[in-house]
Amino acid sequence: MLSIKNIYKSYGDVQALNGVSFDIKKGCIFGLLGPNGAGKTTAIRIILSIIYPDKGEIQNSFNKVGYMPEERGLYPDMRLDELIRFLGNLRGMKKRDIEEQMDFWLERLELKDRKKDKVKDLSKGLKQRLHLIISVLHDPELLILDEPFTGLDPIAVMSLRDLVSELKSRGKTILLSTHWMDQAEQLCDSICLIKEGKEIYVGDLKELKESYRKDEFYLEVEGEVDFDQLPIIGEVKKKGKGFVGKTEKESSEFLRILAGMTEVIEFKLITPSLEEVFVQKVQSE
Amino acid sequence: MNKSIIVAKREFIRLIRSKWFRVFFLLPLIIVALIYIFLTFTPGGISLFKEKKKTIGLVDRSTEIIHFLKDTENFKFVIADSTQAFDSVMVGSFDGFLIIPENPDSNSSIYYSRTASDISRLRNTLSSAAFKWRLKKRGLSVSLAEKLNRKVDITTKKISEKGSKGSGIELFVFGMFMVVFLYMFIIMASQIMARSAVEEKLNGMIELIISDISPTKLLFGKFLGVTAAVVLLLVAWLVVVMTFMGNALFFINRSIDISIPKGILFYFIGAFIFGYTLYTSIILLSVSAVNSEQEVNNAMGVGVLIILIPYFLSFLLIKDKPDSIVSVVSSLIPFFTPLIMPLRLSISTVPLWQIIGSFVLLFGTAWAFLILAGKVYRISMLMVGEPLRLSRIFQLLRKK
Repeated sequence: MLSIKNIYKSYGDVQALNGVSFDIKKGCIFGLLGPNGAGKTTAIRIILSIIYPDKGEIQNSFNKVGYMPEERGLYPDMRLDELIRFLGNLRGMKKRDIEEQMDFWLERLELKDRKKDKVKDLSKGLKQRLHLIISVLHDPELLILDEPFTGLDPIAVMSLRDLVSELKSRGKTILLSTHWMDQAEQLCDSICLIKEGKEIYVGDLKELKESYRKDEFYLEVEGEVDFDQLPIIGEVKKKGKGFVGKTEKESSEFLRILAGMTEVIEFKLITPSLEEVFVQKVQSE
Repeated sequence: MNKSIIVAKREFIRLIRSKWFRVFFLLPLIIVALIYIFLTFTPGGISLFKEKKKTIGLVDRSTEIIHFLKDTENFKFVIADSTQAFDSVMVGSFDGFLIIPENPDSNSSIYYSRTASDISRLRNTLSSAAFKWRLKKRGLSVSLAEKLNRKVDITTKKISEKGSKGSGIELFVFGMFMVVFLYMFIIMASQIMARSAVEEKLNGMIELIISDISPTKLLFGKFLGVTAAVVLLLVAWLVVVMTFMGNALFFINRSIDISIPKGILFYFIGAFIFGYTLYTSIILLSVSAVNSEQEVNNAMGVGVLIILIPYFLSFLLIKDKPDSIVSVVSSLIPFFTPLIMPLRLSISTVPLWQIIGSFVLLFGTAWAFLILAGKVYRISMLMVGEPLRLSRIFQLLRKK
């Protein structure tokens, strides 16, 4: 487990972190979320001991940590295999382990044919994959991904998301730092929302969203429907091809009554997106 | 394997694979090979170093000098017809044509030639012949005069409290060579080092690599790698110089015996190592705040300027007045010591306290600057994205 307790860090007059605390449990995907400049990278640097906090405590029981930084430069004139070997050596890996892991990950991420190519000849998406290989090469227990979706096309985003899920299923713990709330929403088990160095929320993602649910529904039907006959609170508003409203009944009961009146094309309960929750949280703070 | 060694190895391989290195490394070796081939396999090779004996057409209207004008290792004299003087030189029958007037003392001898490069030697040969003619004319012994007229040679020896030591000229040459060599090495190595040091910052690799190796170890590894590559390059050039000098000396049948006192040699090596460390640290300090390739070039100018001052002082002031106040003071200033003190040691007898004092000051300053450069480097490397000033870095240093 990784435990961050009451961390403070300032750069000159700028307070980058202002008493941030969170715990990351083994085997989960933890989202460190917030807008640019919130202090996410500073927190990660402190976890990695690249910099030290002014105040606070860190307890880390993970032996090996992998890191994919937001600033993703590589030595452009090195070949892929040379770069992987170089970083493997720096991490104290044995030669045989480096070769085995390199071949496995190059194959898994479809870069095997580019093994002897220079880094500068790779596209942005392929460089991203190479970064991921570098971060998992030494089989870390905790993998820290700082803004991994930045600059990727939708297909690459999906591919990366699948890989992160795969790593989780292999028992890896992942710290995902991003300002892309939709991606975090799909991946994370628990989160820490931070803004301007202050934590706004730390805890389970589902619980957070549940607490912001407003019992609203979205409904699309075939033909006309008389809303006065339905157990609805307040006004029903037109949205796209359907309607948005709020009911006093349980959703299953409401749907049963509705189905008796007309043909239902689509019915779903509206839960607020993480982005909306974040905005509301910030406003309430 | 030690992390710094891993970085040093990568740095070394990167540098020796680079285009500029291949050109600068192979060029001297190609020159050596060409010199060797030229000297060994071409007939003109040896004649390049051995001067060709010139055939001089001679008309002696006095009929006296001709008896004393013997062939030398440079000239062969052939009696000729004065009417053919111009044509024989133009068609190449003779390299030159010498006409001695009826009165040899009238100073009106004339020499026709396509080039006047050997006029000084010819004048000496002719003067010697005229001298012997005058001796004979007065009834004096020519052979006795030749025996008496021997040159006196002077061997230079530097003296100190411990007695005489090595040849002054050899040491002077060695000292000047040291200054030029050190300057070349420092300029080349520190510029490569500066670019290498900020490489990860400029290409964005720093964030990744810094989680695997501390900035200090990274910097030390780079320092080792760059130094090894530049030493290799300079050794290649040294081989060229030695080969060229060796061949030249062999063909002119001369030898040079350079014996450097151990104390001076020790100082030279120390000055070389700590001078290189000090200057590289200064250059590193000046490039630590950069955020782009263009800024690297501008920042390096500051560091190079500090090295340029002692370099010019060496040639302009120290060389001729090694014991003047300017020379003594500047050789004690650590930033100037590596270039100026070795030169002073080679051409003058420097008091022991100045030697030890300058060395201690140089060592202390180099060490302090190395620590400072390492700290500034560590802080500046992670400050990506914001415009940096050294003052801001020092402010953070104080805070730390």
